[in-house]
Amino acid sequence: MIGLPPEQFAAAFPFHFALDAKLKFCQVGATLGRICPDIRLGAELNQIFQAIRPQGQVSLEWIEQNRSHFFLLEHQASHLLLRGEFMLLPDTDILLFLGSPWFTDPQEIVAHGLRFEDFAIHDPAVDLLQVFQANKISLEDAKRLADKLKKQRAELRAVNERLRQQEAETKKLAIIAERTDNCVVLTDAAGKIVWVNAGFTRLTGYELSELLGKTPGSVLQGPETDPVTVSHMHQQLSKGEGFKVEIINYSKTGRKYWLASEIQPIFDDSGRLTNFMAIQSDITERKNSENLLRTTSALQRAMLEGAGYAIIATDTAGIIQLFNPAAERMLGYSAEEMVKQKTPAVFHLAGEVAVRARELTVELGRAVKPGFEAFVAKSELGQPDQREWTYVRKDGSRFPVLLSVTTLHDEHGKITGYLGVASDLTERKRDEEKLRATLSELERFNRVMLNREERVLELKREINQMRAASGLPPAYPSAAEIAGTQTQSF
Amino acid sequence: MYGMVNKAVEDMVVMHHGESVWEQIKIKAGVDVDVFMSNESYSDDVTYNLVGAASEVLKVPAEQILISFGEHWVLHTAAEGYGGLMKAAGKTLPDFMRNLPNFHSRVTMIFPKLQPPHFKCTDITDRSLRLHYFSHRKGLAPFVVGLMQGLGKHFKTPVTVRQTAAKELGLDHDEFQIDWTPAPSK
Repeated sequence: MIGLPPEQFAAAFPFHFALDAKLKFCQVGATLGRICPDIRLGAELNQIFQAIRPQGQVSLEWIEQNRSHFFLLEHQASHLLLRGEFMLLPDTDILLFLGSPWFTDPQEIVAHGLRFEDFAIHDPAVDLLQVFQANKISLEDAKRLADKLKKQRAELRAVNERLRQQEAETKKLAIIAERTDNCVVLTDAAGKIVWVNAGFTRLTGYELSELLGKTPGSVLQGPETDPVTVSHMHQQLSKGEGFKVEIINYSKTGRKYWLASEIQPIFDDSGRLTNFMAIQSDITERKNSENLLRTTSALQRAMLEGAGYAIIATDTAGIIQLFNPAAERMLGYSAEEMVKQKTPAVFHLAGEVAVRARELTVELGRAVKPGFEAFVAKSELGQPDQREWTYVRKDGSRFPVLLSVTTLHDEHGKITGYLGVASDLTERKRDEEKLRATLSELERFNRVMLNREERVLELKREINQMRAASGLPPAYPSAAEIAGTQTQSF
Repeated sequence: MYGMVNKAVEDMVVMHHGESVWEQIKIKAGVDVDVFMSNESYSDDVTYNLVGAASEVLKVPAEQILISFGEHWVLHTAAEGYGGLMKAAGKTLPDFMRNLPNFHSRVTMIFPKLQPPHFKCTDITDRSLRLHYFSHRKGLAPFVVGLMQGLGKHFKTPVTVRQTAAKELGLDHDEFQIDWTPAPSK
């Protein structure tokens, strides 16, 4: 059998020690001696170490009784733990302890002034430390995983709650989307229809099953659809941007209708375009009335601009809202300086207005103030109010007009303003004057002519009488007849 | 590969770029793991894909990522997980390098499923050594460079690392020449 030479023994067991029969140290391993300097030769084991396992007072008998155990001794000064076994050397009273420090945390190695080199290479103490450490790391990982799972569970709960709320919300929205008269169309990112609501089917006549996988344009557009609008739509779609358009579409039966469409892209959480949604409504009626309105407005404008009458509209307070070109020509004011600036008082004579107010006070049996009221009091009662007034031009000159005032109402019958239409009477007055002069001239002429005719008749009668006196027949039988008739009638 | 390697990649990315970038990298790498278990064995592809995705997302060459990762491994991951053992392994770079092979040998003993690399140091002087790196994995030489630079920083002994032989050139392992300026003796 091979035995170790002392130097190799010392290198193989740097933490060993040997005790004599009185349990006093008689040999100490070099490394142990270095880190536990109180272990001097001759010192007593019990004063330096205490047994942790097994428990008991260290004695030769006690050691003998526990030969089958390993021993864990604590160095009292440094709390270094030594794990090992006692063996009694044969034929001697010498008790040998073979062991190594027991560490559970690598920090302890350095704390006790040790390094890896202080351990025998065969000693698995350092391996154990690495096992401890790996175990500790695994536990930390498990704890991290548990924390993460706990957090995820809480998040999941919150997400579930949110989903539940969203579902309730979605249900409501689905009912709205299904029941609304607006058309709702959902397409995929490529613009192919994936869903339409009942409103869409009602308007277009197409069922979802006929539309799946087609683009709305390919189904709905037709001959009068504006190609510029269509290419604008394609552009916006390819950019993934929302837009609004009004476009002519065709139903399954070929009925043409105007559609207002608002198209919005839908993105998922990572910002990827997933769908387009279109909300559409039939605006055919609106388009028709817009057309009518456009025509009517053009007509009205032509009438206002072209009329020979001054057309002046005011709001209820009398502030001028409209002042047509004829009014500008007649009065010398521009529409710009009148509209929203002045009342008709600017071109009326205050005296006339006051007189009219007094007349109306009597006629209507209530006080009518000598101001704007004098113009509108009568028309407000629904009575025609047409009368002559004197207008004063910007340059101060005056002229007569015939002004007719109408009250303007909104659709509820509320008065919204007044409209005055005035014609210039200057010409008419002049014509009347001329006519009057001609008439009186004619009358005078008539008178003169009538006188002359009577004189001739008298002369003829005188001649007839003179001839009758001479027994001659009348030279002017017409005058005689008349005279005779006249005579007879006397 | 050892979960701790992937965890270290995660630590490094999160430390410098934040959680959301890490999530982005994981998605790009197709890696759906919430927590890497340090001592579990993961497919090598997980690590390669993570490094590849990090390179793409961070717009840094993969080689540079591996070097930074090696430094991070020493200065943070190993220091946090095995700090006590590292301290006990030696107070100086050459002392530590002498103990390095044992670390990996023990890993093999403790976790038989893992296939750690193995290191050998030769020609050790007070200012240089030759590091032999044996691994069945490919392309991790820059990681070793980072590890050595990290160790240089850890022991406050700045090193220069020069690869002197490569597995790609037909050898059975990679070799590195490590040089440093010795600390003035106290």
